[in-house]
Amino acid sequence: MLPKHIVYILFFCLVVCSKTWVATAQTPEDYYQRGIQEIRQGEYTRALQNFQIAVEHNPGFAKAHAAVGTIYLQLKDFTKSEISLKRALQITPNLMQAETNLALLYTKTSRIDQAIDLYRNLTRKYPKVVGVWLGLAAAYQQNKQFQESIEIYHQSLNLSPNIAEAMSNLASCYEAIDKIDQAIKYYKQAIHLKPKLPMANGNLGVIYLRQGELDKALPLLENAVRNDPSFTAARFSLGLLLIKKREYERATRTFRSVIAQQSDHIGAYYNLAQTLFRLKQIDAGKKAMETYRRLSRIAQEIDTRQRATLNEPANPQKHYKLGLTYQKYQKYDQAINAFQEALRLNPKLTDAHYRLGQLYLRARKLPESEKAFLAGIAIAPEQALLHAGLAAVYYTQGRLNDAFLEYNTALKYDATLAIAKAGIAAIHHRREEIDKAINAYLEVLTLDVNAHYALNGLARLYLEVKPNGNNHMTPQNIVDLAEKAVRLLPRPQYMHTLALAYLYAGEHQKAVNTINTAIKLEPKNVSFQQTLVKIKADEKTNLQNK
Amino acid sequence: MKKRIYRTNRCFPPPSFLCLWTVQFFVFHSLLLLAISDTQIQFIDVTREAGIHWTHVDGRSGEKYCMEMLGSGAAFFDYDADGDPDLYLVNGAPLPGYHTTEIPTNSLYENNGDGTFTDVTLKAGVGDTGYGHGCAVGDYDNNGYLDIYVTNYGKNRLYKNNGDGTFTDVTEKAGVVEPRWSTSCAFADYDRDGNIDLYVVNYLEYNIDENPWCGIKEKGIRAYCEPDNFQAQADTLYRNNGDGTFTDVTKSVGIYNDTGKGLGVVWGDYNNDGNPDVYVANDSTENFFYTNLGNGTFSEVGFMIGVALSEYGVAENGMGTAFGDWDNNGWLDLTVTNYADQTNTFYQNDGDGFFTDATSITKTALITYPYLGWATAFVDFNNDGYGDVFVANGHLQDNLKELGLEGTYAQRNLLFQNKQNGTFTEVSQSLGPGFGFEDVSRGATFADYDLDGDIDVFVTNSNTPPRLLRNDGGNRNNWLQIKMKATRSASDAVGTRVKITTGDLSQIREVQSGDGYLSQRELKLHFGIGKHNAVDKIEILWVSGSTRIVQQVPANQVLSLQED
Repeated sequence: MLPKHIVYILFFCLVVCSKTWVATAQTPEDYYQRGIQEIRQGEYTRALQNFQIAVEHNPGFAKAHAAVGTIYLQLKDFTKSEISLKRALQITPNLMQAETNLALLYTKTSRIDQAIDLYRNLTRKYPKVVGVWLGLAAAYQQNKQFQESIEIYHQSLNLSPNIAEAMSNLASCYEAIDKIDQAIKYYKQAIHLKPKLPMANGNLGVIYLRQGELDKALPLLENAVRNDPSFTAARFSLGLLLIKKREYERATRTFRSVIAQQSDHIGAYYNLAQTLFRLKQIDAGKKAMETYRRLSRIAQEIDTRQRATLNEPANPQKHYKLGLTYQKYQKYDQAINAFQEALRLNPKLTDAHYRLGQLYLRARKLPESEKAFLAGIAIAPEQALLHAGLAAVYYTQGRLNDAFLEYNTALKYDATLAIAKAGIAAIHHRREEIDKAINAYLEVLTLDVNAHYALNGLARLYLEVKPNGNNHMTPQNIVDLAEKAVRLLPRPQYMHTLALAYLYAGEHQKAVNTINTAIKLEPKNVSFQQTLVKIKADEKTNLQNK
Repeated sequence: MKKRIYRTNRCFPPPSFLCLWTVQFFVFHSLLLLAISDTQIQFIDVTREAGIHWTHVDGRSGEKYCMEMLGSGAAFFDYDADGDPDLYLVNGAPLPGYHTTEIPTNSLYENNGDGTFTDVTLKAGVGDTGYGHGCAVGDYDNNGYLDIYVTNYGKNRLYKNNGDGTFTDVTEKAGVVEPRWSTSCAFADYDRDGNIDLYVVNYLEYNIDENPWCGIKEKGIRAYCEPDNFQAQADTLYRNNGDGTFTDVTKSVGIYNDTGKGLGVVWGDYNNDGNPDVYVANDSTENFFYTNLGNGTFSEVGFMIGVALSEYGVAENGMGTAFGDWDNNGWLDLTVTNYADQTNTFYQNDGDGFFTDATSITKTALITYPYLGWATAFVDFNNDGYGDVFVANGHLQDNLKELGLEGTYAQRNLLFQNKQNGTFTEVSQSLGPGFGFEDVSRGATFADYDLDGDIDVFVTNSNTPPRLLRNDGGNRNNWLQIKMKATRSASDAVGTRVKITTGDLSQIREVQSGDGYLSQRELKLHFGIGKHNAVDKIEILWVSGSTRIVQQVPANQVLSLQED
């Protein structure tokens, strides 16, 4: 079953209305125009910078605020988007771009009632703007009010009959209410208008697949995947179809592609195993089967927790536990949603505040993280973990004094909190108070011999200071520390330390292998890449010296 | 994953059309002269006029005890060996909080040979009062009379047929008590030693005294608990020692698996190696397929051969199951009924050791999706030579609306007509009043009870009377029934494979003990042969390995065959 994504219409009307920017940016309007040009080129981040400069230079520049909000909406930073869009509307209450995108933001953040109210107002204000009607229809659709949605889509199509995306959304509404004939009709019309429209091709393909019409389904699914290679659900359905046609080799390739796009796709692993068994690749099939079983166990655990929340939707503990399960399996966005729901039901659930703070910190959403920890502290000021969490935020922000104070507050409430002690060690390290840092890490290890973060921190420290009068660590000692940290928790950052330790110990091959593993896990980490270059250069120098 | 109670999003919306049997136009082997288009069959509910005044009792009191969900099965079998199928009905029992002056029992109805039945339970001594679910028949002691095994929540029962119209409870003596919560069961001679063995499916680790509260707590709306709330119980395979006793060989033969929450079981030789294999439909866990290695042991291969899960890799809520060669290619295919918002699954046997999920290709997916299916069977109702599919439906939650769920508690049963091209058409609404009911059906059994040459249906319903649906018109096409008695193989001929050929069409059937869900169809094999007046060739492969070929057999008769 393909997810029935709704095609939303983002109001970049500023693009259409604005003149071409040519001059060197000087005034807020110039920066604004430059941003517009960059949007045209798909350079959203650079456009955002220019809009922000425009706003800095002229805080009353409503269109620039709206533009900032629009870009953030596009980048899915909804909090910032909302602030900017509302600011724009404070300055110019009838700014259409801000109003419409605010309504879209409400839709995307599941505040459907607000979205529908706003869209309704907008349809009265701008009855001939088809995008507003489409926004309303999409909001109804997301709210599963399919009849209303269908009605509005039809109205929109009366205004502008050739919007293939609207036609496709209309079709998926019909599909949702089991009117398959109508769904087929409108998917076909959408494809007629826009033959390459992936969603219409994919959804229609799946309908035919379910109906057992393999020959009709095949070209549609192929078309969907060809025109949107990231359309995982369509690709998966294509794989299912190929199995039914007994084209096992092609199906195998298709399922491997699905897995490359979504590494926890249970159905793809199941079917990959099936095709491999049929191709007599038994060992590979068994490997896929094992992965399937592992993923399946996780899915079952999550499913059990989800059902508990459905059993007791007003019980915050159930949502909290669901959040913990999501967090355990690195499904961080869902975990945040679950913790937020737990807090909506019980704002005094300090554990949920703590978990939210952790997750925001992990996502480098530092203001949100700080807010979560502070909210928890306001309820439970003596909870050491909350202070430690807040300290970590400050540390990440470079506010070392504040971090130091918070870590000490945490230790005041729980003197055995190893992570707070490790935080203090890290602050000493950052301040280049090496001996203090070493002592603090050693204290951590007396509290918890398996504190991987302390082992890693210590190894890092020793690598920086190397042997001197105050420490007698051999390269092998450092390798041992780093190896233990990786053994306890195979984080890429710990692997990085270990690679550096191997390098220091002259074990180039191990260093290369280790840093390559880290790179595999975090391919975009520049620091890892630099270390790889450094290791190779060092090895070359060594060889030349020999 | 499944959200058994609360799932509302529908992946497979049902179609808005219904196809009528009469308007189908078939393109098929013209040489076979198989006539369908003129075969308008009807099913008539004749329960009361047949003298079956019986009601299933599930003992409900509002406490939502889990066994109430499952219902009970039935068996058509010729207990007195007089040539017509009699009927055994399994009943529930009072549960705490349920008050009655009349204790419900299992019942045996003797076929009077004139379309009516007489209740002979007391005389026969088979009125077990345990909380019953399933039953299977077979001649475990090879005395020529069919015995009954009954599964219960609590101790099961083995009734030995004394051959004089009475039975003796030999459960303890035979060593087949099985105190766990058993559901379906089936006999088969897995080691081909001439004595039928017994597979007993067990469901959940459930203690009635610790009945958890499930449902929407905040609103106080109680629901039957999902299987996820309980641990699974391993199934049991009993080997027949040939001396009236059985030995539990579950672990030693490789059957033991304590992760399955079993409801349905069926034996069948899927790879045509002569050894019976066994498939188990599990509720919310992977289905099991134990392939018989031919050396007295089994290997579980369900995942590997593609019959453990849905095509999405999801363990479904398997209920009933059946083997049948729907495409008449000589290899047994498989079907499994599942929960509402899941399709019933059709696994097509590719003949190379693997099955392909052909649910959508059979064109049954959209239709079965909203129904909660239980019993199922491949039966040729219109005698056209192709196995049609019957499905008994009915939800298990009796307060769906309160729970905020779509669907209805009572549902209509389905009959899929085989279109002879790998697809089926659902035709129940054109089959007369017998298919016009919405019931909370569970088990089903099949036999030509009125001996008119077409297969009738008996459906059990939860906490309500069952229905006997007489097939009128199936016999407009010709047919052949084969009754077998084995000598070297177990006497009931369970597991015997028969292949008949008429023109260029071949059909296979196996004598099956226990199939569908909690039930047992008549052991006599029934073949439809369209307008042919004779069967060209009958090939019989007995369980012992001996074979027999019979040629040019006239149609429309019951043929009795004995193993040489």
